[in-house]
Amino acid sequence: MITEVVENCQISSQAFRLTLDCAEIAAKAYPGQFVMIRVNQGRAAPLLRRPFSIHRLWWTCGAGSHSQGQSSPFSQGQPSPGYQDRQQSSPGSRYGQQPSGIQILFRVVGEGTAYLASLAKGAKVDLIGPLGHGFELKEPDYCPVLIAGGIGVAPLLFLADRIKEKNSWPAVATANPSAAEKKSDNPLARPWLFLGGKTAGDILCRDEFQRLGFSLAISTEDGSLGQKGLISEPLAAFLEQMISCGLKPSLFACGPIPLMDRVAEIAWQYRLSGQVSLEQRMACGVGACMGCVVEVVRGKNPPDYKRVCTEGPVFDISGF
Amino acid sequence: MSVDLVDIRVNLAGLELKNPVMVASGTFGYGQEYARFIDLNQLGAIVVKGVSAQPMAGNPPPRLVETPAGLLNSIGLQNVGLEVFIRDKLPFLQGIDSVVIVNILGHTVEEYVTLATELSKHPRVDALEINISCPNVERGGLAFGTDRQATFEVVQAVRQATHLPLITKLSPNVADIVPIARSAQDAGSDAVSLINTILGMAIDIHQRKPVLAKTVGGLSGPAIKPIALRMVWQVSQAVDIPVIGMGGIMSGDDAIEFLLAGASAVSIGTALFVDPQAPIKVLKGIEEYMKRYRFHSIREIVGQLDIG
Repeated sequence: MITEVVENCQISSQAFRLTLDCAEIAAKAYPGQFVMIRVNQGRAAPLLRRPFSIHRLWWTCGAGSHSQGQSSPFSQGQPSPGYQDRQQSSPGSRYGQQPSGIQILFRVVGEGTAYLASLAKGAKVDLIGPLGHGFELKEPDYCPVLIAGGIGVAPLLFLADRIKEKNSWPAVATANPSAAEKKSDNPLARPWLFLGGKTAGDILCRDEFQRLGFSLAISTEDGSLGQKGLISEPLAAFLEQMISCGLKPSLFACGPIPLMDRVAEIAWQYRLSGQVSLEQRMACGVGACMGCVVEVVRGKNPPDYKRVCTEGPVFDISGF
Repeated sequence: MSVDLVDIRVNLAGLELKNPVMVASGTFGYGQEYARFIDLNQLGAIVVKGVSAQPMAGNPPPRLVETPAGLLNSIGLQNVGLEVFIRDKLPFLQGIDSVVIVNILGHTVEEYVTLATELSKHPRVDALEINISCPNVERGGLAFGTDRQATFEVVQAVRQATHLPLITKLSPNVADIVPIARSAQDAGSDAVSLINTILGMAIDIHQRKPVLAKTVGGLSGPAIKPIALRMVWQVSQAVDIPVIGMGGIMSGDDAIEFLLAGASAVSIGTALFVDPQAPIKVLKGIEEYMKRYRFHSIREIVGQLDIG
């Protein structure tokens, strides 16, 4: 479908946040899903569409008050995030209203993303979606721990919005006040984001997660921001601490394969539930061409190849 | 001025196609994958993903790489196998008002025969396309398609096993495609389809490794169109059975080139990945061309290349 650029915002030296007017896609989308965007303006190069995970939903101004909707967390005495009041149009979450579009977050790495970076407000964009199997938020009593490597943070903000909606952090209205109290007292029980990158410029969306009430652990390989080293390093110790407090962490990760491998190892070590979002080169994006497979459960004979575009991009960590 | 009426129906190998635009095997899954994005009833024919007697795991990833105006793939025929295809995939196509052609692939002649025999029992299967041209599997496939005698034997064996119209899909990875096409015809094939992908490769110079896990793969997309067109032209000159042309068709104009070169119908493959609506747009382009040059039927265009 043909959509229109609402805003294209450069948020770091290489990263852009593109807002697209596409209510139809936004209405169906859930965190972890993606869209395929045409980047060739009808020419033969770059030939294939490029997959981008949905970064966030977007609402137009004047779509009504966010306190509409009976299940709104904001109508239960929770302070509403200030940015939603301040901005005329806003990303994030609003109960009871239909979103008007989606945002994607991308780094300029090649011809396709350079083209997207060049798009101005009003430009037409051809996209299909929402596609794929996203994150599932099933367990009622867990502490979400999000782990992102670099641009892997993109789908996790949409997920964070959804977590916020579901749990209305930090206070949890549950039938068990002691559990709620315990949770709100303990900073470990807040939702966490472990955000890693090569260098400070790779660390994106900090403010957005903080506004949602997430606590952040940051590391960079060159030490230019946060702790020096890989983000997986502080993760294990942190999870151990959580578990010793009687909390039940659940992991949601997106980033480069080595990081996903490490997160899966940690999950296995501590017997934690979790989901990982994977990337692979794609052609069709709809499950037809079998091009984007990964061997999710390794070492089977014959190998069990799963399509990232349909069985994924989000896979359960236990099989990974 | 009266409205120009154009007849876009095509009669091919005993099949009544409502139009000459088909979708190519391997690019359209089993049909259902694209049902959200395109009205399957508007397709001349759907050629489903190659089916083998047993499920196939396919090749290790990476399986894809984009090259200039092309797509290099090494899928290795990952498919659910005959049993699951009939049980889980074929029923979806039951309600579709388009011709359904099943692409079959075996490692041995016996496997092709088994596939043909079993699939012929299902009324939803309108025709079979014998895949003797997949470049991405070690045994079978291309091993048949590069040899005249092997082509003859497999097509003849399938011919004896089925009453369904038979299409033989030919490989461009041969010195001369004409003798292979003639063998298919002599063995009883009702049509030939060409071309399958062209063997190619891509190298990651930084890691000094092939990009694809299997080193080589099959090239498709606009990059191969001139080669496909040349082969369609050569084959259509040499055989009496209809030719289905494919290879890099992105637009109605591309399709017209294939029809002029001698193809009776065309297949859309890689273009689907760029635009799932591509077959509809190609058809629209064909109709516009027909109106512009006052062709009343597809048949009038086929092979009308004027070589002076």
